[in-house]
Amino acid sequence: MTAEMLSIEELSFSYGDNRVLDCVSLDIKPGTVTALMGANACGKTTLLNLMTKNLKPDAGRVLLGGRDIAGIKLRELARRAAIVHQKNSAPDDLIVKKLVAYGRIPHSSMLRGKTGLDDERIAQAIEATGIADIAERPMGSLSGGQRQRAFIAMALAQDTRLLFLDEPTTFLDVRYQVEILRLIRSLNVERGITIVMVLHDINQALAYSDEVIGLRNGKILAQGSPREVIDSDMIFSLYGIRLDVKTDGQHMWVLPV
Amino acid sequence: MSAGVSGKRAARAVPAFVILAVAIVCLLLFSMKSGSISLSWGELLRGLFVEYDARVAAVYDLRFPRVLISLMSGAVLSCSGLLFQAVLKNPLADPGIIGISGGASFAASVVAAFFPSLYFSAPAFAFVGGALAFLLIYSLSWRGGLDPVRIILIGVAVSAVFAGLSAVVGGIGNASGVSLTVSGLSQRTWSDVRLLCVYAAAGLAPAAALAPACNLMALEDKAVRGLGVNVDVLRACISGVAVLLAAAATAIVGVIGFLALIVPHIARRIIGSDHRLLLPFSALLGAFVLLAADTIGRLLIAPHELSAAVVMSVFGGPFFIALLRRRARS
Repeated sequence: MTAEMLSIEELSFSYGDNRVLDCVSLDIKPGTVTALMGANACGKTTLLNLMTKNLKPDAGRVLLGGRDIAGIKLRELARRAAIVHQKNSAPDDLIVKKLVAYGRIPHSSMLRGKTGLDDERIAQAIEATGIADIAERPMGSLSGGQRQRAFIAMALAQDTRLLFLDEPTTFLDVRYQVEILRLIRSLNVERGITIVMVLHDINQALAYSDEVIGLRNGKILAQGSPREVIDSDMIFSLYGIRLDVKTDGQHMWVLPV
Repeated sequence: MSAGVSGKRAARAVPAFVILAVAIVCLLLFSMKSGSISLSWGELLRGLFVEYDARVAAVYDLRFPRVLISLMSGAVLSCSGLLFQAVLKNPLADPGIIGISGGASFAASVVAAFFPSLYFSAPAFAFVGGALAFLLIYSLSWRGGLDPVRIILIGVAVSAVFAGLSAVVGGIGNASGVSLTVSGLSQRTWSDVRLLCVYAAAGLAPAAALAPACNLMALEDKAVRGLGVNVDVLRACISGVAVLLAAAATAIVGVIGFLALIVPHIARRIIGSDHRLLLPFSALLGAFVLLAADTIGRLLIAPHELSAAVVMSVFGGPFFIALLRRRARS
């Protein structure tokens, strides 16, 4: 399977008079984990929504495999890129497995029922996200972490080479936050899925991504590996507060105190 | 695809459908024999199937259409409410309360007052009226999202406006000597039955086809779009069918509030939220409840009658308040 090349060319977007993204260009490296960083309202989520056709850009293009996504049908896009949004809802009595099966909708047609491939992909998604033991349970009985896994499994069932996640760890206890991030990392390593995620936690962004993209006021201030582009000055530019950036042989972190 | 229903609920579905079907048949027979002309079982069955009986014939001409129309409009209205609840993501949506039926009724009353020859297209005009009301409510309520309570408030106001307009048209119509019977289940004939049959089928068939889509609407719009589904088109389709159903019932029986709120709510409790089961179950339960309301209205203060709409309001109003209070707490 070939990795999907995703590039953004001179993308601009405004809500009314408020310019959220200002002529942004970037390339997402195939096969990597990229984290979008920045203060609230810097345009991270807007960028994610533009890349998945939830919003239409005022100017500029999003290219997937060299093609402008404006000309790609929603259904085809859903076979090539999946997204897990920050806010999710599902009926309390919906069985987890059934939710995961929704992920096959982009591949299904009205004329034929579920195929063996569908069952296989659903089973793989359940397996990969570690929710086999709760697959027959209703959504209403799950913890926050389990719910998030179920929605990630739905996205995985779409069988795409590209996965977007919008603040996947928000609202979760720290234990579940780390579990979700490890899961995302393993999806990248074991299945080669290109990951683009918005993370509001600086340390999680530094620890779990190959590339970070730092946004401030709708412009990109930094793009590259955390070690290359993140230092105390950059943190100040992105978040407006001066924090020490520490490193040892393996890790890099800031102390937000 | 039975995986969508939890084991407990799936096991419950079959007996629930059977019990409801039996209850409908019992109520149907009871309702047919009871009333100002009261028949025994023997008289009813003999008059229907064996030999002519003037009293049974009168019941056949007057009461049977009414009973059948109660059943059908109950089913149709409940499905309409269920679709509105799915598409507006609002468990409190009811075409009677939020003014869809009001718009439909207004259009139907205009036809009845000024173009009585267009009687058989009245539901079509009602559809246009209902659709306008829906667009009005939708656009007035939209603030980057649909707040459930805002829809109700706007809807109640829209409903009141249309009720007023209908009264105006009714007054003008009466002054010109045309009698108006746009409201209520009395005086219904077999031609009404046939008319409702056609429009009910035209609404219920696409509603059934849209049941899986209604399930998807329970996810966030963005999530549905992420699955490659054009959620805006889907919303328009479901809304259109919901308006059609509400309009069909309203054109024949007038505005009946609360039914389409209560029935899907109870049905959801019994059968779960999978619309492939919930839709047919709501249809049956709605048929039962409206026929029960009409039968109670006919018998309670005989020889006078209460309209089914009044009975539904008396029982439905408190139910609605209880739902609102529970939402406020949670």
